[in-house]
Amino acid sequence: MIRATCRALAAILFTLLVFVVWQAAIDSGLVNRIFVAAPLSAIDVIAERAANGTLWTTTAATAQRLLAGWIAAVGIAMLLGTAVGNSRAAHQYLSPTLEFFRPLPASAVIPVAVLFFGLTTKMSTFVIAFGALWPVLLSAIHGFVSVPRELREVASTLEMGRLRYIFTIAIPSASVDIMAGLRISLSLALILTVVTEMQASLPGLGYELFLAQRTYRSADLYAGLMTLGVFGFLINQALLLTERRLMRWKLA
Amino acid sequence: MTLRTILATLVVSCALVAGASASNVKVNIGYVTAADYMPAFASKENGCFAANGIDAHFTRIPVTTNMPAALIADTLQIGAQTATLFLPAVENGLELVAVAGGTRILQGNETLSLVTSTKFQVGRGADVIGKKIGMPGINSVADVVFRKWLKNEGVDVSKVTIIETPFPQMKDLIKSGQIDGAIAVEPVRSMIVNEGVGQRAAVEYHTAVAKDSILAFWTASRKWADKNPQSIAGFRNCLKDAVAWIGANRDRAREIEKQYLGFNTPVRPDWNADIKDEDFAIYVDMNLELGVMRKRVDLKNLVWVQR
Repeated sequence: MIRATCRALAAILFTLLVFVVWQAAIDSGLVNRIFVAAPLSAIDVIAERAANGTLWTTTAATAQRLLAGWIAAVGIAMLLGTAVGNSRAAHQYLSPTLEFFRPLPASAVIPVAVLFFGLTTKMSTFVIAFGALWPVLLSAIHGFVSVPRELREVASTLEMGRLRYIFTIAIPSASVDIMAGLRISLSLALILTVVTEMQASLPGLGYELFLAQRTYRSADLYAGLMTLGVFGFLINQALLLTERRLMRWKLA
Repeated sequence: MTLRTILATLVVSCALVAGASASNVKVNIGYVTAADYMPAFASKENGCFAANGIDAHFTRIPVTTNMPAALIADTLQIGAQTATLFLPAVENGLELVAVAGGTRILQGNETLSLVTSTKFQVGRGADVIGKKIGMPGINSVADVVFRKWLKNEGVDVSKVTIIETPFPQMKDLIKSGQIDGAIAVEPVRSMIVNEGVGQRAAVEYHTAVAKDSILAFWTASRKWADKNPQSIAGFRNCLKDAVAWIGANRDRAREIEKQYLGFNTPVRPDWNADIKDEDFAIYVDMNLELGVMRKRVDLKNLVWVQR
């Protein structure tokens, strides 16, 4: 407990040190404040947005878009991963196609998504889902394929049906890999949410960054970056807490 | 002639050529795909820039928003801009100045208009409520003046969805119904209308806001302009002469236009190399009213003058 507290304090102190050095670099003229805003200026902008409510509405819009795309990604990835990881036939039929799509950068899919869905939230959800499903899919396949032989033998001995095997043995066994995939996928989903908001002028944190860049408001730009950083940190921590709670048996 | 004489002649000739080249100032000029910048292209091709000691190299830039950063970084020395992008950059501390005019937009010769799908006609601001309008750039002059027009018409701007749409995509997006209209310049405007994809609005929104206003102009960093006053003077003089040259050499001008832009435009913009501080007043007011800028800029510092 004490060690954890010390570690947390050390992390906070390091972050504060970074801010102090950054502010000093701006105040001393070492860095041009037109292109790099002072952290205090960025924090002022965040405080102003918090006071007038725009911080919460834009963050909520981004969060909604992120969750919609990420949940779609996880759902599709788990379905495909379970099929490919637990069925030789599915592995043979689906793997070549999946290997074709896997290296495609999600940003390259944006023009196709725009053609089908226009510059809408649906386009954003599609791109986020496409880009974010691969870490979960690959980690799920790896997790399922790596189920220990002894556990498979137990399932065979007990004459377990396939579905029962998947839910009682395969998924718990693969859960560590799947959780790792989920965390990587969530970060990717956030990046793609911001990119699609910029691309389609959809209200949210990404669009605020885009407008700040267009009007050369560096304080607003860095305020947006800080907000995104904090947002990303918080959602990652939420996922970590969920992992610790759900997998207490595994991490013990 | 002895070998020594030949060698001496060669050395002197090389020195003269090098000297002549050294006296020319290399100027990287950034432009976007629009006929507004024809006088500059013509000035290079007809030798005016070279005669004025300007070694001009043109670079096509995808969007004007990248121009201020490129000028400050000295990647470009002269760049094409519009007021609604130039003024916020100046407001936020970028030391940029206008060095020459490009075009003005005059009532009766509008080079950009609202075009909509054939499903509805626009005669007033209320006709675009609930519609999706493609804009060549958020906070571009097209965007800011359009929003000003909507305000003048008593329309709540939030009731119109404005989507950034590059010119080449406008026709296809209107055709597929993903946008209901767009602000298009030539030749995109003519393409949309001539192919039956869309129609021009019955009202010209830009000149409804301002009958005569500056549209495109040339900018540079103040630092570079102060160091190269001769180049600025030469640039301005060449642009002024080029307007008459284009009129007198139409066939050659069309070849040059095709070379730099990839197409010929059916409409001739109102080129004007003159630019005054007062030209920016209307845009400062608009930018402030629409929240594009937060504070006024000193009009007296916007157009470069030799100190």
